[in-house]
Amino acid sequence: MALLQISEPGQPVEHEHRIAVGIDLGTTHSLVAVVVDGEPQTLADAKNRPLLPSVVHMSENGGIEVGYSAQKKLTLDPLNTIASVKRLLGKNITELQGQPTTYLLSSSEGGSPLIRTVAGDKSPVEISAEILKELSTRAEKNLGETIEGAVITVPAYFDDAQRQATKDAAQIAGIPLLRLLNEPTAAAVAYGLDQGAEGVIAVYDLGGGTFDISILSLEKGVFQVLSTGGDSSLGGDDFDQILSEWILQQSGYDQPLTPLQSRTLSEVSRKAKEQLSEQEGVAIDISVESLQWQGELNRTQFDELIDPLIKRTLRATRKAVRDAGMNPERIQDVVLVGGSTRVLAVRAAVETFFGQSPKEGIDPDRVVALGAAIQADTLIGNRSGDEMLLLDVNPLSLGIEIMGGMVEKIVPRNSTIPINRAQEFTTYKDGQTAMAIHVLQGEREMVKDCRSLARFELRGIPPMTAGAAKIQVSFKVDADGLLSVSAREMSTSVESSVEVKPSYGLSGNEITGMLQDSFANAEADKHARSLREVEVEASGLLETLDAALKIDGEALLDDAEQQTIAIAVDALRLALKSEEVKEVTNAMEYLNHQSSGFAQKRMDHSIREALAGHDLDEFEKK
Amino acid sequence: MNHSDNYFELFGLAAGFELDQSRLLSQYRSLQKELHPDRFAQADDHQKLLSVQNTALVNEAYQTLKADTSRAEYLLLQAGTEIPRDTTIQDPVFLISQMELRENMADIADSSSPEDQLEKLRTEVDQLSDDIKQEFVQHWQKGCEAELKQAVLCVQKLKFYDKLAAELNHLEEQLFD
Repeated sequence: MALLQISEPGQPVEHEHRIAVGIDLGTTHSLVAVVVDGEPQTLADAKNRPLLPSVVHMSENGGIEVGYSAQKKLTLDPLNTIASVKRLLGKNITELQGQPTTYLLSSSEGGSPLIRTVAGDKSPVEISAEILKELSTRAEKNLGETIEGAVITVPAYFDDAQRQATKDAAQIAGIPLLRLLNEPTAAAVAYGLDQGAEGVIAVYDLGGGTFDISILSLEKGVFQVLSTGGDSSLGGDDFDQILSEWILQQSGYDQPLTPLQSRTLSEVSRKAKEQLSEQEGVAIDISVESLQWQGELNRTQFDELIDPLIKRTLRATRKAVRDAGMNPERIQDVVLVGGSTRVLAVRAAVETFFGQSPKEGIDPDRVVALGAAIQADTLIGNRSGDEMLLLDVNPLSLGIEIMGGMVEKIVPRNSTIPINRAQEFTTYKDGQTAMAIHVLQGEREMVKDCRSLARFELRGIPPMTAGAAKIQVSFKVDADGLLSVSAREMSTSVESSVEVKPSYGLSGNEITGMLQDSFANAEADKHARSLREVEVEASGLLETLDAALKIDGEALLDDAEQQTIAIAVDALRLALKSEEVKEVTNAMEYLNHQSSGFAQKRMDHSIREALAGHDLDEFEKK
Repeated sequence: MNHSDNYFELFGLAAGFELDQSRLLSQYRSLQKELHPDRFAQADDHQKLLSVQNTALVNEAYQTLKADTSRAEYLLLQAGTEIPRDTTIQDPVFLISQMELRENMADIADSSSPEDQLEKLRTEVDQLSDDIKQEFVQHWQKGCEAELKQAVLCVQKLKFYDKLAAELNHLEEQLFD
């Protein structure tokens, strides 16, 4: 559809305004935002609070609470109150062993951790879906309309498994996902459009559980990510953890902690950390069961404790700056994002590194959601795509295992997405008829140091001498940063492909099961909702096709081609009257098929247009 | 898209090693503005697929032309010459100079002023690499088979220098964290 709009001179097709939201699914807080009259704004709850604590409480009768009410139960019912679930999302159970956690964990068949609650075992994906549902309900209440699409943000440094898990959570929550957007990129959009900034900027994003650094170039509405780096398990929670350990050490308490003690200790630590951003020292008083301690902590001590964590962020920052082909002095603005950038030592370290004080302006808690809302508004078609374009990158290199436990990189980190890359490999044994493909993500040379994403086998290779077969392995990374891999034997075209689903995540069956659960109670409005969705899609398609035909139909199509499209258009109009989802989707598919040649012609045409006529203004601006 | 066989044409640029980077970038962005999947979020699957394929091609072309070594390699590919992946360089003078550079790199950590030494070596590598680029252009322009063979050798040497430069960056990270 949008394709059919591309050559219209500045005038977007008039159609009804559609509601799309931006969601910041954070480790400690989540938010939802929407663009109203061209301005992005966060949506608050009934008590006018924009933040939703990312805390979910499960009760025995199946009741689920999300947000402030759940937060109150953190210490009352620690085992059934789940906080910071984002840190578990897309992780394998084996990666979490040895890490402190309040919950009882078990493993799904795919290796995803499951949290034992009174309401049954819950996966991080399901818990995240509850938070998303709460936000979409809030948005629909606020706006009085159905949400037709959402952009959900993820840390730029999230790997494929974590992105896939976020996407799955959206699906379970019944939210039509328009795009996964990297958090620092979202922040840059909100900041850039608000301030009208141009040039190279750095976004330093330290949240509750993740750290991202992105270097972006802003020019005439194009937000191009030059490089990104970070640590997907480093954030404010780790500050609390270090502080908790310090308190325990001071108290001399050496018994294993009960869930209540561990939760209380975290809360005490978090409060102390927050106070130290305002004052020079805090009194700490903890008394929970047999754990008792009173004492003081001043800011200098605290800064020393967290210094190793801050150094880790600077290391990633230095690397990202170099990857962007920059040096700190050439960075024009530094934008701080995430609640943890309120810690004074963090601000000071960033300021020293870049030799400039970070920009104040948009609230660091809300800036990501605001940027996501702007992107959502663009993607749903409410604003012209000419105003803004985001070019993002993949954060980690992708490759496959070769002989000797080594990784051959196929897509290097910081490649602009979407990207397709293929490489040829060969057999190493005479008569070899199958080849195992092991897909990995990470920067290190050895397989054991990288993250395994998937394994699959290409079979049916005709027997040949070693080294004679040509196996082409293709990697495709889409605009959400999600990977799919296929392999093909070139002489016979034997093909085997896999949509990379993390080997330790949830299996397709498990996801289907959760979907059925989530729809079990909503079967009635499901039909109405899908009908409404296809109707909107169909009328949008008709509208834009009509507009495109008016502009280019005569020029690009002959009579027969025009006739074919006209017939398909009539068929779709007729199908719309049936009020049957299937009829409408079939007719849409048919029309899409019949007009695909036209679409290709327009795309070629628009490439020529893009290249012609640009010479003048490009040179004048330089 | 019919430009997939020539990246230079795709960006409306004349084929050559010398390249106006700012023009490449602005043409790249113009194309992305037309083709990017964000413009097709409301489109049907076929158009989405087209958009992803076209954008991926534009990204690949941009990356290839942006960096000197891959651009040189691409020019040779266009001239029908492929860079063999596994052949080693036989030129003894070059190999000795490589060994010396690597020895210098190994000495940096223990030197009295590692930062200065690292910067000095980096400048030297850049200079040597620039000389090879000049040499490449001369061979490539002449275009006959013997000259192209020399140009291939230049690209192989450039890859050595690229690798060295990457290792210097890595060393810097280790030294100054």
